[in-house]
Amino acid sequence: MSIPAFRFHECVSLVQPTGKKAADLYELRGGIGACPHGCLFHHTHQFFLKAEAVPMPYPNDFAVWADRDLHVPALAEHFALVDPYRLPDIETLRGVLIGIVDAYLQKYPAPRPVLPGSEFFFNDTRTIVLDTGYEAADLASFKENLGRVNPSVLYYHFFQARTRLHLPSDDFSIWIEDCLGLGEIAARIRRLDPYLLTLEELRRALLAIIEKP
Amino acid sequence: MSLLSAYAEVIGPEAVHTLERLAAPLRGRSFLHVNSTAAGGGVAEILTQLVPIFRELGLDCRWEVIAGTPEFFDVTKTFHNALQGEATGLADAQYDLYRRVNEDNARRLDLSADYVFIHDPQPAALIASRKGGKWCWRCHIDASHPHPAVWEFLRPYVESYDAAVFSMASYSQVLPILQFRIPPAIDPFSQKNRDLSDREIERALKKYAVPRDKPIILQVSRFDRFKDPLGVIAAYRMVKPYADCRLVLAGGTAADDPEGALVLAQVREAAAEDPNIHVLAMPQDDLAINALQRAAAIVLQKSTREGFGLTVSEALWKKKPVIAGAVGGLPLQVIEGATGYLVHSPEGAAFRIRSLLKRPALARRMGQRGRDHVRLHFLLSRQARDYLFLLHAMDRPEETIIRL
Repeated sequence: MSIPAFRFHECVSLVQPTGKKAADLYELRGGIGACPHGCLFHHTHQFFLKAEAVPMPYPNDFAVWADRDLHVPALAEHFALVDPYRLPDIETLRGVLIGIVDAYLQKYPAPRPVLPGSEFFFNDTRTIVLDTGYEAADLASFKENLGRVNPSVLYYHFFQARTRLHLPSDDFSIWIEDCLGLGEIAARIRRLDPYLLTLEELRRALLAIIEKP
Repeated sequence: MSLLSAYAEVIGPEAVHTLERLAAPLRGRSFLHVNSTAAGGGVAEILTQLVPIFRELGLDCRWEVIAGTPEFFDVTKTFHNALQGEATGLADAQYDLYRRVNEDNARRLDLSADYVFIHDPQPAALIASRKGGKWCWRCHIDASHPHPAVWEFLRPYVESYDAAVFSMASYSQVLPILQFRIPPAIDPFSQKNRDLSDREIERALKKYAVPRDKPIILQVSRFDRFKDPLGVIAAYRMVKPYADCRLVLAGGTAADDPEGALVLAQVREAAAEDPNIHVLAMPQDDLAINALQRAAAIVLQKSTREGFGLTVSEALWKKKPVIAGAVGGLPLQVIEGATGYLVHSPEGAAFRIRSLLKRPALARRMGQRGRDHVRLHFLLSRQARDYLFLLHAMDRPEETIIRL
């Protein structure tokens, strides 16, 4: 029986401003409570799709804003540890984020509002998924294609897969285990902590596992 | 060499393949851009490059320019200022003139296309003459706090579009139509940004009598108080006792801008007697700006109010660290401590200039990161990708995830 090929898909996204913004922590709390699911998804899950030449100090937009604009690093640290891919759904994520703001406000005085232009802008997003045309039938061709595809391929098969599959897993390790029978490599891929890696770092980590199984 | 091949050398072949994949389902579809000027200004500059890219990608792309009387453009200049919040009103006759000129243009121009992008407020009322296709209003200015009367007049037109596009999220407002954020971008092959030989740089600097005997600190901008050229001179004077350098303030002047002339006179007065300050009130000379940016050690954009400020991306593309005011679109381009520094005062600018002049290796690293940052986010190829995305999004407005 032939092995089903792995087809590499990439995704591109386009930001949709909602026109809503927050100038202080109370407005941020209100915005988190009222914004559509797509907003929360964009500012947390999809943060990892941003290809950056400069690694960002925190892994979601709320933490970046709390630190850079609101100047409350303690709040940024709490936001930074929210791993949206470990939460079952967006409503749970919303509750966790609001809980962090409430806990901060109970412990510390509210920070002053930011200057005009530095507000938190609530954005939604749309995504297009494209078939790159690249496919792999074995580990060698998988590695070759993984080395040349756009970084967004990594996002689609590693991060977006967690939302799609509702599993703490990814398309790569599932295919490598189920179709190639290489359970040890798959297990090592699953042990990666993608939450702390840029897409290029993730690519290098995957290639290292495949090269030295 | 085709444009796409040239881009492949800059952004990599896979990024160009993404453009081709997005364009493939749109091959043969007609795509029309309409704006108010064929030359001069950022929109014309961008369309000059974008239209050939879309044609290479297989779209039937056209660009039309509306015609109008000087009185019409006076009205649209008022629209422009009012959309940006200036408290200015118009008489009923002026609104009528705006409507009439748009109707005349609708009769004169061929507006039939599968996709129509209308750029800025001048031709926005063409939507009233739509006969088909998907229409997008591409607003290049900050419309977040418009003057109420002017916005009440324009709003029905804007809300008739299928989508609106703004350069930054902060430029947008709550609208009942699809709304997207697409930042502007620079053309890496234009006269302003293409690679230059040392000889070309030398020749351009000689033309403007700027020696290269000491590090050059450069600000390129109109002589406008919001660009804070006097603050730049103040910063330079604070640096001078610690590090020998030259300051170049280069920018155009508009004959019809009395305030610009006043600011220029103040700048000249502040610079008087110092042979190391070069105030270059120059005509449009893209090659010279390119050369100055390449010759500079550090580029400043010390604005106190700013639109997107694409001159920062131009400097970053040339691997220069940029010290900029933390306003408008500048924080999107200058990543604190990575591609440059954001400052809030002449003192802040002076401190960062001194710091970078003492650490040339850090300045080089920032410059390289700046170029990579622009390659990912602020080249026209990214804008082309976003526009292609938008065409699909207008075709399938209900789908938040589109599979092609």
